[in-house]
Amino acid sequence: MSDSDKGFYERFLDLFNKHIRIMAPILTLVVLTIFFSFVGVRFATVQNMTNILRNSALLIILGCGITMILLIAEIDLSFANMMTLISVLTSYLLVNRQWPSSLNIPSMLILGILFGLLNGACVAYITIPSFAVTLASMTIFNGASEWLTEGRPFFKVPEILYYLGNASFENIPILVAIAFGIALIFYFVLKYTRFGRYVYMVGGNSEAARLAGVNVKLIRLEVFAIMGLTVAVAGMLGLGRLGSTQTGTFESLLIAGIAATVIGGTSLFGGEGGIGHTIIGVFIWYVLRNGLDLMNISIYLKSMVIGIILLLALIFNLYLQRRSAQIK
Amino acid sequence: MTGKTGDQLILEMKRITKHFGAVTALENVDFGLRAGEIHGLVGENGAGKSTLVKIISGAIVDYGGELSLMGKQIRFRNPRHAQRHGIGIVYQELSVINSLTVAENIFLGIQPTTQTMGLIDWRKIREDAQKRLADFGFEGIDVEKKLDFFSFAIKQVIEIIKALKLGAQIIIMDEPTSGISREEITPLFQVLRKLNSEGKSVIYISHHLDEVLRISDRITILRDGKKVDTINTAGCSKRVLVEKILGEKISDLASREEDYSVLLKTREEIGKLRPCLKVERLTVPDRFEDVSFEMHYGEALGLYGLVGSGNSAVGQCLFGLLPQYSGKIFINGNEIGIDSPVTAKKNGISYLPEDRSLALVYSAAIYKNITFPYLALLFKEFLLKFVLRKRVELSIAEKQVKTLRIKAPNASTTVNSLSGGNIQKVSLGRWLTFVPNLFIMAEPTRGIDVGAKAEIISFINQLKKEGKVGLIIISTEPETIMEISDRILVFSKGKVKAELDGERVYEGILLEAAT
Repeated sequence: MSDSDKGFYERFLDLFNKHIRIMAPILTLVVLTIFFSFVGVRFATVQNMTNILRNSALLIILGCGITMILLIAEIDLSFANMMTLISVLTSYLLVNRQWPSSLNIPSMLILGILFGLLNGACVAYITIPSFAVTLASMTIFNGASEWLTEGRPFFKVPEILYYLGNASFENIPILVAIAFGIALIFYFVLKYTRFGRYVYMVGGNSEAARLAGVNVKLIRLEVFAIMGLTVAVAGMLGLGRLGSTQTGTFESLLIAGIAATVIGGTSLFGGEGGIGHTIIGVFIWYVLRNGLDLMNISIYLKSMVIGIILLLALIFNLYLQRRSAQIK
Repeated sequence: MTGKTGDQLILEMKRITKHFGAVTALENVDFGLRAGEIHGLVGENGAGKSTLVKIISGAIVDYGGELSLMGKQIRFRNPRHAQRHGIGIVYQELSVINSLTVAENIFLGIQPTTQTMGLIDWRKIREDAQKRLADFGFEGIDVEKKLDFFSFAIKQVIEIIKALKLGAQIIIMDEPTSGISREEITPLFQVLRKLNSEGKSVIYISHHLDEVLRISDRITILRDGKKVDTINTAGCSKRVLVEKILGEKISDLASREEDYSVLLKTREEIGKLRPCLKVERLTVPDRFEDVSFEMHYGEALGLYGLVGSGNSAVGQCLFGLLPQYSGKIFINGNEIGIDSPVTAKKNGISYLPEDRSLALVYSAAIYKNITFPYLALLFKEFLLKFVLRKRVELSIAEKQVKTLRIKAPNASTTVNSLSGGNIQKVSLGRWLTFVPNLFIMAEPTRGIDVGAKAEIISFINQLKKEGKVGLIIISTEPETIMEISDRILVFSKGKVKAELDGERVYEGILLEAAT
């Protein structure tokens, strides 16, 4: 049967099957949006949509780093606590050391990279599984925040960060613009640069990459360093957005970040997925949360529903993996 | 010949036939195993040895012919079924668990329990494990120590003990000596003799003909899926065995020699070529020692040897996969150190790994795999060197697809939809965007169909003719080596045992030199 003989439905099905990894999350997002538009009160309003966008921004920035980490078949459990630590430190240095933003912000960016290098060096050169390394560094970052805050919240925020986190330009939140700018850079790097290709190939088959004369360890180290940088950016913008911080502020983003990335269709086993996936995944995550909020569902039930959806996403992820393995 | 029917045969197979698609793996093979004998099973790769063994052990169930055990006809449904009927098999790849202790390994799955509480009776396990090992001449082994600390030979004996505990009457040893040193062979043989004296039968599969002649009572020879003969070992010489294994191929090869000798270079011709690689006293502990040779552009040097003989380790070492080497390596007359594939690549060394699945990213497109090794050089003349240009990549890949005749819709097809032969072609092609100084090919034609094999060999010959690259061909298959190599180094137990001129080689000499 040639393509022209097929009806619209069959052609759509072919297309869907061919690009199932991206089509499935898009379809999920569309279905959820339509569902909540009918069921939820005040869901389909410009204000609510802007709200969802604004909420998504931080997770999109984090998601860029997480996507790269998952693409090389590693994991990072420490980023949420690292983000909190960065936000706490930024405020702490402003309050206790009177550091100006011109010193504070660049220092935090460098610190983020250093944190990432620490994780990455343990993974790539000491060859400890990333799960274990980041579990340890997660605890270290959390401990450092506790030590600095001694349980108190910090309310002082560099003005520029407050502005970036809350101001809008022509009805577009600046935070959203920054998030999409960063996502665009990551998209370009992953898709059109040599480094991006190495990331995919290392994740697809790290032994093959090594036998092609690629410095696999260096790629791993670099990816973790980039992750650290994105976390530093997210940490400072998060502080600006909230106007305060304390131990555990961004803890919930750990599950949200990994879940959104995986729901978007990026493989937990490396080599497949991308930034486009992650943006869709982040939207699914917030549409779901926001929609359930507007439905006045008990907060306990909400958590459970989200957990179930995450589980379904993981099952689907594995199914896709099996399918592509079967073609072999 | 087997023929002696009656009760003395513990296992009897008649007219066994097995097809894999269009390929006949076994055709009307009769095989008889006497109670209490060690029966050698020999033949080239692909002669049908492993298929026969898989039928005996229940791994292959859809075959033609009959199998009877102690006179009773039976057809095993699965490996467990065969196990219950007393078939034990010790594969080349052992199934022991290194992170458990010796005792735990022996009692894996069936631990004795104490009478009072039903808990695992560790004392009994210890004592029993010690006793069983002592029975086989391994006294004073600390059974509480992790298996990690022990040699391959002991692990092998543990596998045998495990099989015996399950009630094995017939023990199949698949290439038992490929992973052990010469010193460890004697204790293994003692174990086998002990089994023998207890009335158990052993099927001993090996490429090492000397060993088969030393240990076995009778030998069955397979060739191209057919049984050639079953002979008494007593009075059989190695040369006779080699002749039976190769059959008419020896005389066959004499005529074929002419065809290939046109392409193969003589020693004088090689001497005139530009030197490419020189290796002096190259040694990697436990893998190979004191390997020295020199080779030239346009020359193909074959490294032949059995599994574990050190030939493939030399290739790995030259590509930086065994950085702990000692000795000297020269490329174009300059001494270089190779501590990783990255430095190997920098020095113009390319490598085709034995295992195809390690060569390519299967989930990625052909063109991405082909441009992968040289991605850093590809866009040199562009302003932004780190930005990829798909059009450039595609044109490079399409060229390789065409020259290598890779059968694929286009260069954007993912590798996992290709056949083995075509995957191998992609693995070759990806190193040829920029011609390397030295191309090391491990098993370039293993496991691919005849057509693709011929295409790859003619392609390699083309590379030789162009003379821009030095080739090292590593294989355990004599045919592959002979068809391409101008000179051959024969490896045995980690050392170069002989250097042969390609045009004078025939398979028999290779086999004899290596075993």
